[in-house]
Amino acid sequence: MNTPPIPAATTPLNLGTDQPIPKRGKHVHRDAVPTKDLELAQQERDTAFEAEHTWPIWNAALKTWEPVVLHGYSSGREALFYKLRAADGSLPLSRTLEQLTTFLSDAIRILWLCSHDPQDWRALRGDLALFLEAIEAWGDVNVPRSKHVEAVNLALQIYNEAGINQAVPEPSDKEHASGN
Amino acid sequence: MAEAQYIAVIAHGTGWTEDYIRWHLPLARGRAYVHAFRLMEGEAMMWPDRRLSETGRWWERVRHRFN
Repeated sequence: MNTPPIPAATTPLNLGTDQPIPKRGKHVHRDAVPTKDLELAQQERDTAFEAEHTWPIWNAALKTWEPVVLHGYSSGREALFYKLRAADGSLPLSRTLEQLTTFLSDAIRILWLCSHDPQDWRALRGDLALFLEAIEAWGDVNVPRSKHVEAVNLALQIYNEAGINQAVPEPSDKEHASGN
Repeated sequence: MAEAQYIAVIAHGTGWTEDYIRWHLPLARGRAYVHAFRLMEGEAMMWPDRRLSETGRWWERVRHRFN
């Protein structure tokens, strides 16, 4: 059986100029970041991860200040912090963070929440006005005027540490149609 | 709800109880775990840190100038 002759390769197949263009995904721009900034940011995240804080609490029986290791600023405490702010009609945090003095009541709330256990506020959760009064009374004793700056600085540190390890998903070309 | 998602991700990855995650796990640690879990699931993540982007650094310079 004779096989048909194979045509000799002559000119290359011409596909014209309309070459298919590879489909491009959404370009994610990655900035060039100075190494010192990268290292500093990483160091801050590591420090926040390991952080532990103390605050002096007035011991009325012994008439002395006793340093107490604070509980972590956890998700439940954060939720409660915002709930208390809303109940108090506080200014937005972006405004109170502008000055140390305006952040003081927020600072006292953070320190109160981090120096108490959930069972301490179980009875207060149902009455936010009473809850706020209890925090204010605690602040009068445990955050005296001489410690205002220290309290604000510590609360700010706790607040900032809570957010520093919060990464977000990178923008993607994939469309999510779930709506969630 | 952000807190529910946070708790669900950590509980799924570690087996820790809701009570522990809500009241004992500091956010600074919990959010680092959420980051790690998402990376392990193949999701690309980034830090929303102004210092780590050109636009952010420019914004910081402007802010410092007007402060």
